[in-house]
Amino acid sequence: MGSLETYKNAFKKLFELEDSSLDKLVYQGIPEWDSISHMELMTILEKEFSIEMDIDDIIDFSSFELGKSILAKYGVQF
Amino acid sequence: MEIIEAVWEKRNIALSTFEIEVSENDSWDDLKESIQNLRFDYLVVKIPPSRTDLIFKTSDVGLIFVEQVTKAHYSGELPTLDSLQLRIVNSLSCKEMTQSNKKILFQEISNGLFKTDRVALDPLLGIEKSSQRYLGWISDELKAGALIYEVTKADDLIGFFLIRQVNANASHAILAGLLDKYQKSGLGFVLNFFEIEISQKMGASAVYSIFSSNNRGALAIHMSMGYKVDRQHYVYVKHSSSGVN
Repeated sequence: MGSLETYKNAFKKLFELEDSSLDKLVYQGIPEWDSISHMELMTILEKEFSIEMDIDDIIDFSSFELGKSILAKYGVQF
Repeated sequence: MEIIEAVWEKRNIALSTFEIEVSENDSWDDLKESIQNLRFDYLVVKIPPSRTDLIFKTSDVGLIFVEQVTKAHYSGELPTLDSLQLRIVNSLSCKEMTQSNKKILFQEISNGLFKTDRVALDPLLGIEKSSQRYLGWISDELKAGALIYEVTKADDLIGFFLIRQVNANASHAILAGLLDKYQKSGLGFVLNFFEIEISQKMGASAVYSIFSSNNRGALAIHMSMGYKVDRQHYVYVKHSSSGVN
């Protein structure tokens, strides 16, 4: 599975979303993406991509789109 | 039934305010009579959710539902954090707030930090009055012996909490918040964690906290930390511009 699919699957499974909902998804844009699930999402992404994100990046990870550029800093290629 | 003249609200929001807390046993007639006999600009009535007999009659006396308030407590060992939460907590500092950070915090509150508060959301009151109210509330609590703590990342103020020891065994986590810049950061849990840690250092075996249904994040965080629900109230308000109700 490519990185993009892995990335999308993390969101889709955690928030029970379809592909079409992902591009415009932002933190607290849906009730399910709250501070608790944000930490779950970060944990899932760190595990899936075998990375450990800087705290500032975890704080700044505010949308599906922005998340891609954050993960790119850790060598994840989409 | 407990009826309190909320004199602090006269100062905070310039409204003569009464609060009524209804018990499990108060009758509708008693509640209705109390409401009719009070002279107020702003009335707050707290009803236990179990009192559906009263709840269905609240509109008869012009009460408007605004929120559900939950009182919960935490006791026991410090909450167990997962590895990511631990990394985050270990990257932050928590200590009594410095004067310079108090200025930053009070400015943030003046700018409308508490957006989900029932006064902020009330179209007849609004966020400016709500902000004044929070500043007045914090000032009163500090005078009464509460302590205000800051949570920082390096030198950057992330959030705060206000805590007061109520007796040898318990403390009250009165108020907490993340600064605007960090409100969409996932860091809310650190405030609850540090509240518990500081309370335990004070010698308290239980920490009490109160939060509103208007703040969904607060509910999620309290539950995730392992707080247990003690009591809930539905909160209703009524405005009376003439003082005649």
